[in-house]
Amino acid sequence: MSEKKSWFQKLTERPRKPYANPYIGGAILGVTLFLSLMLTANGLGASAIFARINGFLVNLVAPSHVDRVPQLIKVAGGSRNPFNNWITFEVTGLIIGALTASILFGRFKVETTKGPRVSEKTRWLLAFIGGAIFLYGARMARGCTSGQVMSGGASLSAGSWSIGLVMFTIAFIVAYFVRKIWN
Amino acid sequence: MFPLASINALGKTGVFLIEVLIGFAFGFGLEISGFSNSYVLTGQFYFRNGRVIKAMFTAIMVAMVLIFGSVALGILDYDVIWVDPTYLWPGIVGGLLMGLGIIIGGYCPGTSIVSSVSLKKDAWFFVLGGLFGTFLFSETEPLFHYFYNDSFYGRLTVMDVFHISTGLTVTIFVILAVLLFWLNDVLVRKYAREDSDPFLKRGWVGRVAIVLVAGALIVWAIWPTWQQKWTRVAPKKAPLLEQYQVQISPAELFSSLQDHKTNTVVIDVRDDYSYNLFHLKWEHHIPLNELEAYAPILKKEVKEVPLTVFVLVSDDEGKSTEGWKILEAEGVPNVYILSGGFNSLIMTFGDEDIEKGLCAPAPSSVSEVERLNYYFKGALGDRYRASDLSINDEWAEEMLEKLKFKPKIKLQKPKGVAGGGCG
Repeated sequence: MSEKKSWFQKLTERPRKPYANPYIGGAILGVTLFLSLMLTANGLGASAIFARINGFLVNLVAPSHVDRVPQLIKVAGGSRNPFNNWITFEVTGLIIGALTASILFGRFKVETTKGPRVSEKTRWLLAFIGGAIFLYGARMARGCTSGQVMSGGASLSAGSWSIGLVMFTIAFIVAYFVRKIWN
Repeated sequence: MFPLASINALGKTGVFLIEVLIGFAFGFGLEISGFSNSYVLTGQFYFRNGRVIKAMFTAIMVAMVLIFGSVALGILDYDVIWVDPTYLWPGIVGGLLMGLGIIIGGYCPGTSIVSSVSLKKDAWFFVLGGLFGTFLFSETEPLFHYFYNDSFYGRLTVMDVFHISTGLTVTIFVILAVLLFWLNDVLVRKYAREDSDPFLKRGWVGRVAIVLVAGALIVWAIWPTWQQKWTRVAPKKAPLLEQYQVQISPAELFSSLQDHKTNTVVIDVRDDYSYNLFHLKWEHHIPLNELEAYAPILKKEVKEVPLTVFVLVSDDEGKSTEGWKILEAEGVPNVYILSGGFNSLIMTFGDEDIEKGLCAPAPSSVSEVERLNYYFKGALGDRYRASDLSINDEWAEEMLEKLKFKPKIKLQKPKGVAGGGCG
């Protein structure tokens, strides 16, 4: 018998709409970044939330260890609450925004996005490895695509532009060697 | 004056609420641009589509034109907003790893959160990997702590590096971005197997180019001169001059130079001839017509050495007052003028030099603005006792005891947000 669909199924089975014009998407992101600097003096960010979650988790397992590691002291040292920071609120908004857009345009679906020639499990492993490398680099560079390349790029930070150039150049070069993953 | 957070107009709750709204638009913008899918995102690197370059550089350029347009109009204080500080080598190594990470992992941190939310399993693994990478970094950072904090240039802007004006910089970046959009489309047309990008129509690059280039040219055209900036700050700053609150006595300059807790930077704004005749040891010589160009460097100095005070000197106080207006217009904090200039300084400290005949009071005792009231036997530079006011010897101790003054220097903290970016 045909069961009544759950609310979750309904949300994931909405018709998929095409993505927006990237220039329009970019303009929305640009105005958002500008408003962020106008109102809060901060740019956009994302990788910082990883550092704060990491600080929170290490603090749960080994609180005394936190106070010995410079990178952890910054976010969770002493009685510091790692989430008492603007980034927590910005990422909360980011999650709601992404949820709204993906449900609205039918892209809210349990799936694995990958190149046609790799299995799902390989893709998951590569995503984990890539994530680890990326965030190691983002901590080293003191910011990621949003914090450095976009925010620092728009406010004309010399360091941000050098980071962005290196990042894109390397990605294009390595893309050729790993083309089997994606094509 | 924006940013609003700098004047505490919002309060902590207000800022956090606004952050949620900004995050919402950020997440929405990333999702609709196609970045909740690693296959679409990495499509850029094979020119299956050109979405990353289009969305990302449009975002940067739109924000850049709006930011510097607002700065030019005087409604946004560029000195207060977050500009990522430059740590050159850790940045380059980090950029290298991020380039590697994005092509192997298929996401960057922001897009991995967006994709996780839209239920992409691979994004969940990227986020887990990202947490592991963050953990590894915090544990291994002590091993290369020196490198991580090395090659630090502070708040370094592209304008500081190339010594070009802000308007020109914005225009160059916008033109480069438009060329990149054009090249991107050429390559996508060549390599895209299917019509994966319905926005490849030729008209789009042209439309984007017109809007961005027009914006950049407007920024360039309306960028204010220091005189225009001075008119904006004059209602607040001119009374300080009139009430004689920023003109410090030679005795206060001396005491400030003797006090090694403060970083007293003396800036001589006279021309080369007067400088060679007589100047203070350890001072900086920046002729008045070059002072505006030095403003960004002075602002950096205050950020890096917080207890910095600038004292402008000239023969009397005409040129130094002009210099004060330039630096105030450019937003340099803690700037003072040596009251009476070198005339007054030699009168206070030059007894010994006068006795030795190195200099002598000019016959006319009528003080004109910008005329040195002393004769010098020759160009002796800083080889006078009165030239070195920072050395602490018996004479200096005696002078410190003897001289009385009403202190006017009040040090202000440098402007700017405490933290930001992905810190």
